[in-house]
Amino acid sequence: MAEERQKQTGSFGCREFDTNLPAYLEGDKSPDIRMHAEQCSSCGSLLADIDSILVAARDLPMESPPPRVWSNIRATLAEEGLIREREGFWRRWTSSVSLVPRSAPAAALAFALVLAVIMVFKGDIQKNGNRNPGLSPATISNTVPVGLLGVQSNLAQTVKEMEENYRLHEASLDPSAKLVHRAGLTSLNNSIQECLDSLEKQPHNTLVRDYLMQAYAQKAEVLASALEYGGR
Amino acid sequence: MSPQRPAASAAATETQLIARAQQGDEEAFAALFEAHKRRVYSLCLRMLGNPTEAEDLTQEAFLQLFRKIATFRGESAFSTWLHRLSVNVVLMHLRKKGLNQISLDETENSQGEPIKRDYGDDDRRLVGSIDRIGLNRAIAELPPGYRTVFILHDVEGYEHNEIAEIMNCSIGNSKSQLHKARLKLREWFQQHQSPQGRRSPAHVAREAREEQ
Repeated sequence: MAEERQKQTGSFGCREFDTNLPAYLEGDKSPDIRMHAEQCSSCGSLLADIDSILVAARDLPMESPPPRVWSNIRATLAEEGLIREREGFWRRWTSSVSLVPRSAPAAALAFALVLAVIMVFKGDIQKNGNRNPGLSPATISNTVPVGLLGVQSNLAQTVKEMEENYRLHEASLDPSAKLVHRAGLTSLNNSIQECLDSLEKQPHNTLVRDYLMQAYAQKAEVLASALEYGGR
Repeated sequence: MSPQRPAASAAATETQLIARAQQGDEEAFAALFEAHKRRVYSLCLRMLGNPTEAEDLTQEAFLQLFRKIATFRGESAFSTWLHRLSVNVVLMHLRKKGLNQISLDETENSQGEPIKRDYGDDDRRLVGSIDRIGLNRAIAELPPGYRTVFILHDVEGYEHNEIAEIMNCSIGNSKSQLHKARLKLREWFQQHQSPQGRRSPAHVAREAREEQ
């Protein structure tokens, strides 16, 4: 029968078809294969079936693993210490805020450290309820300004609380150190006030906001340093 | 030009995710998993035919990836790296199970009887389209070597040179195994279709004419 078929389709028979079919399916579109497939029902069926299989294979849908797969992966990564601890709000904030100028990496590092100190002191303040209810507002140089964005307002509030704490401990500080801290705080308070004045006129000036945040951060650094010194 | 832009953007995003994952960023790990989970899981599922094993090996593949991610330098595409790793995880698993799945060069002559075709008139065309469930079953019943190369080439879209690299075999071997896999699949469908369901090519041609 094969010989008959070979004769029917000329020199390109079923055996040649079989030999050349893989290359044809790989893209070598030899007309001999197609012509033979049209004349030979057996080879035509084979070619059509393989085409159908290839179409179906390409259309097989992808499936999603159940959620527990990620849960297990995540748990293992955490167990092996491959996942870094999630950054806290302040660290994420400091990495995203645009400070101008930002030319000195050391300053950025110092700023991050200051914020870490802020968090510690803020925690102490909140935990110990260390506020003096009799403290006169007049002793606080800065109130939290209205109109600051959420993050800025949080920082201003924290600095305010640090300052309250500082006032409580100021009397026990070394007089010479107190002078130095006061001078620094006065200068920074002036800078903050200038920024706030500017923001009143230009509420959308991001550069002024950045300078304001820098001033608050520097003030926090001075206060943290003073509180640390006083605590010794 | 425009179609390349999203691809370039996606690549840039993935590069950023990889950099973050290298620093241990959990969100980056999660995003990389999300981007590739379906392809890896589907690959495992088809190569193994068992959802539980596929889950385990998907997990194993991603864990291996994340453990090594610090060493990724971007010389090759991240997805290529991941999928090669996934294939290796599956192959190792099959080897541990004692299945004859090592490399295509070793299995060249061990995938069962050579496929001989009967040139007789009863070599009728399969009925209708190949359904998804049947194809999945047929793939699952292929010998492991055939199955792997068929999945990689005809389902996942790998080129023969990539398969040869992944499977550590020659390109010619990959082509040869693929063709045999396709013939085996057709044979499977022929065996699993009821004789009544088979139609002659003339019947099929007539149906096609009637549909037009």
